[in-house]
Amino acid sequence: MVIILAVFIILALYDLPRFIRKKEPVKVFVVYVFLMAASLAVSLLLAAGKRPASPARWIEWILKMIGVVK
Amino acid sequence: MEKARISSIQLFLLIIGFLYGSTVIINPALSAKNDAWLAILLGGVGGALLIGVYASIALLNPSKTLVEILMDRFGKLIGNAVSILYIWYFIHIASLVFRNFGEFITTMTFPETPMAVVIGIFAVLLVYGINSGIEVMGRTSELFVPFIPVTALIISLSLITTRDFTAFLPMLENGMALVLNAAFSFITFPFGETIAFLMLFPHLNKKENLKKVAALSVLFIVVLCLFIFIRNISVLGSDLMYRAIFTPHLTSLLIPGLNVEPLIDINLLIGGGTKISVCIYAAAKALSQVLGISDYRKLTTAITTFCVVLSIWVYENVLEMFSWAEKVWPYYSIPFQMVIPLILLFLSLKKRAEPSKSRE
Amino acid sequence: MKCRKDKYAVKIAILAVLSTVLLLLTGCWSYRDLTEINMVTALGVDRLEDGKVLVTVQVVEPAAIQSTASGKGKGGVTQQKPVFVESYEGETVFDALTSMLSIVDKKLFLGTAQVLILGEGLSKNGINEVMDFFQRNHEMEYDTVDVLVAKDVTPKDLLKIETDMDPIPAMYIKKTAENTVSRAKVKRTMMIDLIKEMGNSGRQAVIGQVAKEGEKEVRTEGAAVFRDGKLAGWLDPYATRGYLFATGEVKSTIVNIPADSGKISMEVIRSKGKVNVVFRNGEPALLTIQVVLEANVGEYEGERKLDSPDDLHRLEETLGEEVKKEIRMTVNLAQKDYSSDIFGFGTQVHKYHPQYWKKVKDGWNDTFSKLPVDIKVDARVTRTGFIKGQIKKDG
Repeated sequence: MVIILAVFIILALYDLPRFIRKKEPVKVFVVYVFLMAASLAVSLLLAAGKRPASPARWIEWILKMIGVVK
Repeated sequence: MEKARISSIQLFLLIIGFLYGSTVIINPALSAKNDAWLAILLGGVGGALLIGVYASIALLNPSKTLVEILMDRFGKLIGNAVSILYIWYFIHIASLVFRNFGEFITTMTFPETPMAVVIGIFAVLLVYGINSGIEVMGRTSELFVPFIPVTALIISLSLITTRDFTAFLPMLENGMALVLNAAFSFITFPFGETIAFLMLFPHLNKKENLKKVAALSVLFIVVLCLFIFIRNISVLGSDLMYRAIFTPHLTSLLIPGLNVEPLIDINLLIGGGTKISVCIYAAAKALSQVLGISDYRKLTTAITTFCVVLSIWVYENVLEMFSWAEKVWPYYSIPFQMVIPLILLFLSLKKRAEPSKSRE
Repeated sequence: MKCRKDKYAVKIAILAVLSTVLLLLTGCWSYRDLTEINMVTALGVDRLEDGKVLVTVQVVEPAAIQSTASGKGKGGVTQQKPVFVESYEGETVFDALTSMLSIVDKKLFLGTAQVLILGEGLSKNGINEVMDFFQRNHEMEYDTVDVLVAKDVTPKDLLKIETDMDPIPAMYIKKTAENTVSRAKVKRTMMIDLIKEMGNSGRQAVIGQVAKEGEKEVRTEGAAVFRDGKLAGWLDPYATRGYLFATGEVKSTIVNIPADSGKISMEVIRSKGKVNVVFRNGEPALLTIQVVLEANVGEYEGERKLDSPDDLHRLEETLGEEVKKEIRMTVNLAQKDYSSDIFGFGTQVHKYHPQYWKKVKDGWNDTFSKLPVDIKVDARVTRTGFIKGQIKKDG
């Protein structure tokens, strides 16, 4: 848990000041924060032992709906 | 757009590294058991056709990346939507390769190391490589990819005394359907995944070589896979080959008095590294083009982090990884690898025909 | 200019930090020092009456080996033994090995194992179940482990033997199995071969046999015949050699043949064996075994001289008959007594007649037992050694 948070904070501290210094457009921040937040949320859930249904499952489910995979 | 250029030989090696990537440990053609050689050949032919389609698209739309082509042909709205799907697809491929790599290392080499650590450390290295740009990736492949056939040769030669060259008999024991199935899986993994190269083709310095390079690299991979298959089956026999989780590793364990299995790890590092770099590069580049961001490098860290998390999240255990790769992956890939590219090719051909008509 | 210099300094500093980190990160996550593991040299597995598994390990102490090697002859002083043997029972092999840590201090490392000894009780119950662990475990080295079946002795008692020939008893046992290259009286089975044979329904496993010989020695001779993973019976040393001739595994051996008023020991120096199945009308009609071998005259206890080519031709014939007799004996045992296709005829059927194989796959051993077997041995004698004939006082 702590380690995951630390890793993410280090990554954010590495990238975000650079973005601010270079005065990046807002969309860079939005995409960056979105991807990082999603990763952080999933990894925290994984670390807590509450594994959310994975994309592999979603895809399988969608394909089953269409009827391609049995 | 960055003005980076890669040479034909660099692209050739990049494609080889990409195709060999995780095929070194999971070869879907092996599900045809002792007829896998046939599946490899058929799959190779199909794969060559598919890569031919991609190359034609690139040639019909010179110096444009996949995203730009999609925008041109489908219009802004649909083009953007399809591009985002492709971005997801590239991220997915990258995370699958990360996972394969992690599973392999934790099963074989470092069983007590958490997979997240293995994958994470590998990812840091790759981010560095990707941020250095496509030219560096090309040069790195020039340096490392030649190791792949060399190690394959070393391992094969060391096992030359313990072989049974009739092990692939009987032919077609389990019927043609199984072979066709395996061949189809082999087309979608790894050949169809080269769709990611549509983001790289514009950087090739000599466009006229594109088709030749693609054809040669497919030929090379088919020959290499056949060679490795013959080695594995003649050393292990079809039953053990089918039962083993990571076949080449087991084969390399059998070399008397010598531990060369790190060579397989190195192969995987080189191939998998190339594949992941290309996929993440493609995803970052595509995303930056969709959003109109000037430099893809700003997004690589975030995308790679996401890939790493996804790779751990995506499967619960090793067997899910294999069954998913076998059952769901081919169908999931069809739209990305075949349907959309074929539509693109069709539209591009139409587009080329039209102006010439109007000029007349 | 100054600015560039600063940047340069920063780069150097980063490089220095990174290199330091690199030094700290050498080695693996689960790195263990040699002194923190117990190196297992031999494993014994047996099944108890109540279905539990009894695992015996022989562990070597590298430090003690050195002291025995250097301290030989000094005598008198109580020395640390170079190996110790411990047993533990558990539900499975892995369970027993791990639970054993309650009586053993350091973690058991299996990568150094040289010999795996299967007990008779286990073999009768079936070996497939316990072999699973050895395939699954990442520490095992498939290609260096010799597998043997203990006859009339438990693996535990066998591993407790302390011989004077080698400080590590496991190495001693392994070497006696290894020297079959010059006698061909015991089948040598490496673990990888066993694993391959277990998955092959067209060929039944044969594993070398080891027994206790007095207090300090073992005798590796003969072989155990399996049928579908269960012990079906034993082959005596000569039947074992017949089997090895048929499958082409003889490297060198001594075959004794009768001669006029004496006997001759023929030294086989090269031998090739091949099995085949002859099909007539879509059904197997005849099993064939073909052996081609080359031999020298190794010893002659008799009166006559060997000086004409015809003598050698006669020897070739007798030698061929003798080898044929041994193979016939093995074939009879395999067909009549054990009903187990140890020669791999089934594999030939599988490879070249897959359609027919599908039909008989499950009952192949019975089909095999009923088929006639044709044995051809082509022996060639080329040399007689340094002398032509016996010493005669008035030669």
